[in-house]
Amino acid sequence: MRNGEKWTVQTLARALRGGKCSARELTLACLKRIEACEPEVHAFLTVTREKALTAADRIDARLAAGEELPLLAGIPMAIKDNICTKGVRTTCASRMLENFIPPYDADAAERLHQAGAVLLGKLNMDEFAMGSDTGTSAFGPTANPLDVSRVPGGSSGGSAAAVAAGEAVFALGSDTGGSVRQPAALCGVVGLRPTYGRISRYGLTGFAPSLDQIGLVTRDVPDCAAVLAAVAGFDPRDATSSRVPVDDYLTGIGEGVRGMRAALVRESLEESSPGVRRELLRAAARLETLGARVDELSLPFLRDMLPAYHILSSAEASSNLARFDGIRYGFSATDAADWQERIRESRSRGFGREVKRRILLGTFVLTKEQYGPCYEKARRLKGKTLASLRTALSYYDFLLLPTSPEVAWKREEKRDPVAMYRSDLFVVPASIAGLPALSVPFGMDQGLPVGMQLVGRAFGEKELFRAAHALEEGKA
Amino acid sequence: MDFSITEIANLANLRLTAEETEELRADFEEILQFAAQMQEPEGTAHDPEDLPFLREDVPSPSLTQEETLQNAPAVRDGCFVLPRAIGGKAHA
Repeated sequence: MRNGEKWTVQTLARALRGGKCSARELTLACLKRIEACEPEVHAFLTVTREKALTAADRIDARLAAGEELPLLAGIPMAIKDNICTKGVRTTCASRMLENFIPPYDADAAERLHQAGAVLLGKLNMDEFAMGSDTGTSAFGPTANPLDVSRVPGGSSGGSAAAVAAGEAVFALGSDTGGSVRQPAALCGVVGLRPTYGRISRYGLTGFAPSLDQIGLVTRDVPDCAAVLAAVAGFDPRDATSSRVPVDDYLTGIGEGVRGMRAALVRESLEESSPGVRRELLRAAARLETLGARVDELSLPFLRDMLPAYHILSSAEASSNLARFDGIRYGFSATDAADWQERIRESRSRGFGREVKRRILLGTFVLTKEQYGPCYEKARRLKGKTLASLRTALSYYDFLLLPTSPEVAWKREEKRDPVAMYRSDLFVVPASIAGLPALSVPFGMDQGLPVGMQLVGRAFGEKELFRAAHALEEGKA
Repeated sequence: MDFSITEIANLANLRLTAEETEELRADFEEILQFAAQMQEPEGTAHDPEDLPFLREDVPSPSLTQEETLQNAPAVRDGCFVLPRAIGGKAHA
């Protein structure tokens, strides 16, 4: 299946209905691709070969019986390993959950199952989604399929790599502080973080619940629209799930950007590598050629968002991950002498270094002494971000900035901590404000893909798809 | 800045090596510096729109006892087994 990477949901759905291929053949083709790529890429933690083939056969039988099925029926996909899948191991790439088999499906997994999408397996990630290069996984790193000496980004590095390698047609990931958009950019695929509340978080292992959102990785923008339509919607099991009706995202996706207003974020020009800056300016010019108006806009608080994000997300992680006690589920230090030692030892041995670091940082910023100067100040900055972005988006249809200040770096490259930290600079504001943001491949730098990010209004995914699709079509 | 890493580790139920303790000290100092550099925004820490709604307090289907216990390291008579809380000596 050499040209597997060109397959999209749309073309495959047509092929399936036109009798040009069967769901079993599609699934087998993906499984073959997985077999060929995995020794180098390592995007998967679990491959559910038999379950996938059984599911595909069921779809083939229903299609043969003339049943009208949803667009995603028979399409092979994979899910990040922090999203619960009933009966299929879900590890969060941690020793802590190495043998955890969820007794229930996440809402998004359930919706995909109902739509007839075929689950190929579970995808690698940074442990508990904490990281930016899929290097903190307890089961070994994932490589960028475009150049296996380079990182795929993270934390949903497995999701981006699997789609970029043609191992899966689309994938679910999760985005707390850019974890879907940044790997999508580094692997040259489309990544969406929808509005907070658009996709239910029920069954997504919490890292920082006020920021966590399930996201999508696809090969092109219309695929992203099609998958969002399938997984979005109100879910009473998630108290932050939204009742705003789900749009018909595909209709009008090709209408272009004529008359739209975009704001190019000035600080992102200053913070990007020369190659990424060049592509950003080219994207802005492209949008203008297509009939949009592009202005430069300054967001001076952009740089303050990073420390605020780290404080808020670590604080929430420290509280969330308190549930891992070695008693109810997960790794258990059964040799511990007493109850308290059991909890401490299970956590100390079950969690990796980065996870422990963030739990401790979170515990620290929530202490009586640090609560005011750290946590509360970060909360106020969150409010300010939200207000500033709302004001900007009351005039502009979307903000334009790169997804990552640089292209995929080499795994062994020694990066200074400031550079590593800065790699999340452009993705964090939309996370903090709960706004939808999409990364679309646009241009290359040093032979590697660059991702452009579009940040839109709350529940304005439809406009984002339209604008991103225009950029995508115009990229040649 | 005066803080005890050991105390914070105890609060978080984690055991640290000497090397980890030193690394964390540097991390904490860095985050304090970053926090001090953040602009001081006006307004309150809580956006009223942040508040989630709550669902009606009515029983709905949930996991069975068997499903709830299926990932437990040790189970006896339909209960989680844990070491004795008082008086030491492990049970499981």
